[in-house]
Amino acid sequence: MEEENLNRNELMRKIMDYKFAINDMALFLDTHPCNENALMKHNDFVKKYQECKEKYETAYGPLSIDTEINSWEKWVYDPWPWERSEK
Amino acid sequence: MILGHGKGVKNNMWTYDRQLQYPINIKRRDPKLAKVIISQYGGPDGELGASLRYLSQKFGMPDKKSKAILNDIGTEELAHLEMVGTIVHQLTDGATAKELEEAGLADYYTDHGWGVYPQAASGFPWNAATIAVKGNPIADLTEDLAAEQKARATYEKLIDLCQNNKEVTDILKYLREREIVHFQRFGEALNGVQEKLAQKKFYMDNINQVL
Amino acid sequence: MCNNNNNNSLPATLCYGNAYVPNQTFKNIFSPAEGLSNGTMFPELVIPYYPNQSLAEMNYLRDYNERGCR
Repeated sequence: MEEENLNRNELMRKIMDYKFAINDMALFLDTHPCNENALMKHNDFVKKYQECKEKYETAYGPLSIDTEINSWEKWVYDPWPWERSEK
Repeated sequence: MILGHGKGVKNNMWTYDRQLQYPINIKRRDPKLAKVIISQYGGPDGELGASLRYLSQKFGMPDKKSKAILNDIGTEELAHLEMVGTIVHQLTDGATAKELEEAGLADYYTDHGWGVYPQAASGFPWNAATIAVKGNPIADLTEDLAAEQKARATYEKLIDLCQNNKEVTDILKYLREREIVHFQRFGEALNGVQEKLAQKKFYMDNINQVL
Repeated sequence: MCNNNNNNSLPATLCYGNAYVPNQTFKNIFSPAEGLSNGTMFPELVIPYYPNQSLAEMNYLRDYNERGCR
């Protein structure tokens, strides 16, 4: 996986990129449900998204409440996405 | 941001994903821009209205593809609602009362402080009268097409007003392009419904029964 | 369900009193990073906007109200 040496921000950016791709393919598929090509692309993006999400969550903490969480503190106290970050 | 699907245990339909759909990290406070951008949070053509319109229309929609697109675009609009709220928050949070007053936000500050309140730029609280759920597939999808154009037009006005702030206009341009894509999808859904009805020769059959 | 593959932009029969949008056909897509940056995965759906463009369009439409039935 090319996402081997990414730092936290870069990995999060990959997650956002893949999640976006999934979303836009999903909307296309809703009105073109029989398009095999689009379906294949969607599923490719899902695999990459899941890999990145797992990598991120292992290293930095949960991205949703329905993953296994070791310490709930991260969910509560880590920066929330809408907060201005110092970087 | 929110995605309606995913693996794992859920006790509700929507799971919150701890990210924004598009990155927002505004370095400089600018309450004057927030005063107008808030219209896309709680205004007549904003994201709150869009989400509720589509997510409400889905229940009475008989056509499956239209149901799917209403559900999935409605879900995406909630993510956009969060984005617009984030922009308003980052443009105002931490400003002094004086700064807010100079930006024309004395009234807003009085009622809401640094909070983000669903209202139009004019100050009118969000109103369900700005959305329609007619329970008729063609009317509802046409309403949705109009809604997407109005949202696009509003983002264009906001881009005009915020043109000196690239950080902000980049986000607004993104949101505007999403409205164009949504318009395309609702149009495709409408094509589908109309095509189905035309195949049935529904109008001809009906006329024969009436005569 | 998937045996009716209509690859045409518009339905075969267009009816009066109906509005249509050309159906999009799947061609190439952006990479996810380009997609997020552009606001869509589909290059053909990108319509750029520059500040004040909407006002320019208003003026253009106003200037182009030609009379005559050429």
